[in-house]
Amino acid sequence: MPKRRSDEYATRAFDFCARIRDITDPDEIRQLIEDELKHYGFDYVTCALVPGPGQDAMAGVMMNTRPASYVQHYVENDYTHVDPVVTELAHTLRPYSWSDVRRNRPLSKGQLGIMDEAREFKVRDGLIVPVVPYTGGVSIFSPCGERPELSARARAAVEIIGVAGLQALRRAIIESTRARDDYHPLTRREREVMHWVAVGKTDDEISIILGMHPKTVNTHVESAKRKLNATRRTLAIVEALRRGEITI
Amino acid sequence: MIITLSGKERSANATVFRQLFAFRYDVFVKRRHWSLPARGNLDIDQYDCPEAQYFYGVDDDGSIFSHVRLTPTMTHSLMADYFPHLVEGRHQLRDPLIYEATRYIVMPREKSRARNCTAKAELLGAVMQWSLERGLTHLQTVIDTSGFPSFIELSPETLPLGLSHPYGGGPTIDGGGDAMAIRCPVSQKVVEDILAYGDLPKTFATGSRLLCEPMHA
Repeated sequence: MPKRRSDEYATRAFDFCARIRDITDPDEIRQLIEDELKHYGFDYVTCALVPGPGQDAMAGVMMNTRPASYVQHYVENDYTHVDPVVTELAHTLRPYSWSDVRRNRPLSKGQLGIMDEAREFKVRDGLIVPVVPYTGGVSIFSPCGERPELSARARAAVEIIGVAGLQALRRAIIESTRARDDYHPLTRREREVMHWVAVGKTDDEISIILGMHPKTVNTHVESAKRKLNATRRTLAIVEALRRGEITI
Repeated sequence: MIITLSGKERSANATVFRQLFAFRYDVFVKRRHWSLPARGNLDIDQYDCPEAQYFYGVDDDGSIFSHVRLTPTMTHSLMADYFPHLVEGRHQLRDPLIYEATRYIVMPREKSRARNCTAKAELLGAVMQWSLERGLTHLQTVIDTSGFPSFIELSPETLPLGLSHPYGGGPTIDGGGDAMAIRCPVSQKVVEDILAYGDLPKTFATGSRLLCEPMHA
């Protein structure tokens, strides 16, 4: 990494925030994020809604530049729910690095193995910037690389980039989805029902909460699934959150 | 309902101000363990001046659930006085058209994400509308860094004035954390951003619910 002037970190982060807020095209936002991270030695980045139990790991991905083989290996082995870098989110919602996780808590051989496997893809360290959007759930901005710069000021700058980048991307995806011809917004009742589905209520419980027949609950769920182009409830929840239709 | 009062009205509204200062004491000193110059279980400092403008939300039963204080930066700026290290670059911290927000609290009785968003938008929408009507250009504040995502989400116009720095020993110490300085332009677009965030009608900020008459004690 070239040595930087101390004020360069702040200046770059401010410029990034000022530029990204005016962009509405999700692909342009993705490109800007990718380009900016290269200045800090981050080769790859993933922005995603963290999947809940049983949810498809890829359904909530908003951006990913990690190598396809790396992602395939990760998904096929179902690492999302055991990778210590991800499960650290159960302990903190403050930004942290992969090395912080190694340093701060004892890891099993299996957990260390998952982290070590990343080296085969020329990835040695990374950051996780958690963001809790108003719709609920946890999104992460997760850049990584072979030799990323992780000085205190670089981390502070990348955290700002992560928050501003992830929020801009999320907003742009919602707006571009809503602008599509085939976009059909959920009705108020469908949003209410899907909210309760998302927080884990059964149809019977939802029927009591909302004062409707369980069959009517199911009708609303099926209608919401069609509008969200989802074959399963878990996919519909992720898509509804991604579109900003429901909050949890 | 959001109510606003000027610091000049403090003696005429002594009971209300006492409730506000007690509310702040409860939140910042008792719950968050901040070291503040409080006296008699009331949080009062040098920025509680006649030039300050107070905004607060009250429930139907009159209990206060949100609060923020605005001060003109030319005379009263916590950021310029105590946190200039949070600001990098050539930003002017004192300007006649820039006000500073401090003692920001949103604690609605109903604990849900949706209610929290609405309460936040009601308070900040009122503040932004008040600032717009007075021709201010920007509002600035020092926040705990963990709150930065929600301010960006409120309006993407929000910009950092510097990188994050630890305060009070850092996030692992009771009463400590990471802090950063942010600034938001005062504009109709930001008012609309805030109302959209809280799912509030566009008439909210200019409607009769915003600026009520002071409640004389």
